[in-house]
Amino acid sequence: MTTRAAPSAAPRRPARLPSKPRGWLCLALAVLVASFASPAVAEETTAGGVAVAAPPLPDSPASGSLAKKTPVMRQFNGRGFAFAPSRPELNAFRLGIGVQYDAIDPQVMYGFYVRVPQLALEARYGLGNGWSLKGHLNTILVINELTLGVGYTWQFGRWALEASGSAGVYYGRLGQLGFDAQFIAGEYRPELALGFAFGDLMLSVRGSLILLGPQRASVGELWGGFDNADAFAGHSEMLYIENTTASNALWYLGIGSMSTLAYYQLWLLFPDSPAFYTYPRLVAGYEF
Amino acid sequence: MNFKPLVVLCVAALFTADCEQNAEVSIPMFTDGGLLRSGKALTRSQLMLFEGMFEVHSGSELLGNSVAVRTSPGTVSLLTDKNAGFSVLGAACLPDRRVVVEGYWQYPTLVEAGLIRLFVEPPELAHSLCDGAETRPNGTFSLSGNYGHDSVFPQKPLVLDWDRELKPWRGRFFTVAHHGACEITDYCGVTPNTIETIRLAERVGSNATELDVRMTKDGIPIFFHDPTLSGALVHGLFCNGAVPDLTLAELRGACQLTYGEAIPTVEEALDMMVNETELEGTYLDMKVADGVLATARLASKVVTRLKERNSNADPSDDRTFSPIIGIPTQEVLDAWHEAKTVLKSEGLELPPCLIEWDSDLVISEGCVGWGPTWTEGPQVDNVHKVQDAGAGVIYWTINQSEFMDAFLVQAHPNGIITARAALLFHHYQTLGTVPPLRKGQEATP
Repeated sequence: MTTRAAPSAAPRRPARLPSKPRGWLCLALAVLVASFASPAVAEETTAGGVAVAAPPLPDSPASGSLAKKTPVMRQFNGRGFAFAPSRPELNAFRLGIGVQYDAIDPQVMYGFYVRVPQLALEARYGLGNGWSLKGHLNTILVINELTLGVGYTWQFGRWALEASGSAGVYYGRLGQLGFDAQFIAGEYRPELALGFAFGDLMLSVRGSLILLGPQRASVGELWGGFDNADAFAGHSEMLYIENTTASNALWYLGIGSMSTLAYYQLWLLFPDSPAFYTYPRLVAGYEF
Repeated sequence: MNFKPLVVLCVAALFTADCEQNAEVSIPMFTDGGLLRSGKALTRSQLMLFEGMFEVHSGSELLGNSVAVRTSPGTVSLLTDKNAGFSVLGAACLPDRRVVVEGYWQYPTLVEAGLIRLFVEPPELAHSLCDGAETRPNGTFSLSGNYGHDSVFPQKPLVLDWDRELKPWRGRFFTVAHHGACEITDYCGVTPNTIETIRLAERVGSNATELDVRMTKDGIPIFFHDPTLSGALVHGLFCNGAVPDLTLAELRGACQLTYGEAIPTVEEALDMMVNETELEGTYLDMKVADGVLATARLASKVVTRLKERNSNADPSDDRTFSPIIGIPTQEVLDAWHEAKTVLKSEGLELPPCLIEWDSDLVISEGCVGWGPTWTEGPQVDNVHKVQDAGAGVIYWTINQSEFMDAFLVQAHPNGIITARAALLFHHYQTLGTVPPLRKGQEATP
C-alpha cells in the first residue's frame, strides 16, 4: 500500500518479487510459429539440392515407401532422436554427446564469476512399438545428473508426442578450494515432448518437471538438509532442432528456459532462498 | 539447408530472454502513522527490560513457539526460527499510560511481511514504565496484541509471555551479519555492503558485521563485493567497468545500488557503526591486498579514538567496538605485515586481525580470531586449539538451520557469519553454549 519504512528503520525502497517465469508460453508461441510456417515447408524438402515432395510420416494414413527415403523419417523410425519424440526400431541405439550451458541467474551466482559448460550425454534405446529407453547424463564434477527412464511416442501425421518419465540421481562433490562438501538427491523427471517433422530437420519442444528428493548435503563429516528445499525443484521448457546428415548421424541445437530453485542451479553455495530463478539453457552436440 | 527452423529458434530465444517480470513489494506501515507518533518513546534503558526469551502463547503460526527479544537503540526486535523471521518494533508510552510496541515483521527469503501492534501487560508494568521505571518487577509480563499481513491493520491475535533471561551474548557470541542484514536474493529492501543494511543488521539480530573492502582508483577503501560493477548489485546508464578503474566520484556519480543506496566508504561506515549503533565489531574482509594499509589506518584511527573515549572521566560514553582486519589470503597477509610495519613506524595503534584459512597462523600472528569456512566442516580440534590460545572462532557463512545447530552444539564457536541473524540468535539462545572468554576479556553480567 505504501513504501514508507517501518518506524524504526531507515526509508527503504520496495523489495522485488521473484520473477515470474513464462518460458512455456514463449515456447508455445514458437511452436505456433512453426505450425503456421509448416505448410510451405512441409510440401517440400531438399535432398541433394533437388526439391522433392515431402512424404507423410510412415504411420500416417498416406504412408508409403517414399517416407523411408527422407532423412527425418529414416531417423524417426530408425535410430530415433536423442531429444525429439521418435519411434525407434527394436534394439536401435542413439547416443548424443554435447555441451550444456546454463546462464545462471547472476543473483544466485553472486560471488562466483566462472560459468563453465557441462558435458552432456543423451541415449535412446528402441524397444519397438513406440517405446524407448532413455538415458541422460550431465557432468561438471561439482554437479552431476544421471537419469534413466522410459518413454512412449504417438504419431499424428507430421507431429509426434512423447510422454516419458525418468529417475536418477543428482550428485555433487567438491573436496578442495575450501570445500569438503557433498550434495545428493534423488531426481525424477516427468516429461512431455512435441515433435514436428520439418523438412530435413526435426523440431521439438520438451517440457519437464524437475523433482528432487530427499536432498542431503554434507560438510566434513556433518550431514544436513537444506532450508526451503522442496520436492518440486523447478521446470524446464526446451526447443530442440536436430538436423539430419548424409549418414545416420545428427547434430543438434537447443535453447530454452529453466526455472529452478537456487540450490538446483548451484548447491555449492548452500542457498536457502525458496524462490524460483529463471535462466536460459543452451545445448549443442552431435548424435551418433 | 532450411533456415526457417533456425529463425523459429531465434524467435523462441528472444521470447525466453524477454519473458521475466520484476514486481515489487513494500515494507508495510500503519496507514495513519501508527500509535508511536502519539506517544513518548521509551528510553534505551527501558527498552533493555524487554530482552529475554518469550513463549508464543498466540500467533505461533507467525513466530513459531518461542521468540528471542533483543533491543538496539530505539528498537525492539523479535527474532524467530520460523522462516528466519524477524520483527522490528518501536516502543512508546501513550497518553492513556499504555505502552505500545509496534512495527513490522518480515520473512526475509519470502515475499511476506506485515504489521504488529502489541501492548505491555499487566497495566501496572506499563504505568511504571510511563513513570520512568528502569527496572522490571519480579514476575512475568506479556506483550499482547495483534499482527496482520501486508499493510492490512493487524487483527490476528499475538501474545508473547516472558519466559527467561537471554544467555550472555554481548561481547561473548557474535551474530555476524554477512555483508549486512540480508542476502542479495532476499526481499529486505536493502543492498549488501551499505549503510542501510548495516543499520538493519543490528535490528534483525546481529551484533557485528562482515563487510567486503575494495579500493577505488583514487585510493579510497569502499565496501563492495564484486571486482566489477555487476548488474546484480548496481545500475546506472554509465555504471560499468571494474571497481579499481574508477574514482569514488565516478562510482557514486554513475552507479546506484539495487535499492538506490550509494556505495559507502569504509570511513563513513565505520563512523556510522561506532556512533549510531551498538554493534560490537566489524570484520573487514579484505578483497584486495592493496587496500590493507589504507583500511588499517582507518581501523587504527577508530581504535585510538575509542581508547581516548573510554579513558576519559565520563563512563557514559564508553564504547566497545573492534574493527578487525579480515585476512583471507597469503597475499593479503603479506600486505598486512607491511601495513603493520608502517603503522608502527608512525606510532599508530594496530587494529586487531583475523585469519581465515590457517588456525596455527592465527596464534603465531597474534590475531584475535580464526574465520574458517564452514564448508570444510566444524574442525572442532582446531576450534579448541584457537580458543585455548585466547582467540575466537567465527565460521563463515552459515544460513542453513540444521548446520547452524550442529556447529553450535559441536564446536561452541565465538560467532558465526550469517545472513539469517534472527535464526542464529534464536538458535544460540535455545541450543548454544556460551563460548569461553577470550584473552584479555572479562566476564560481564
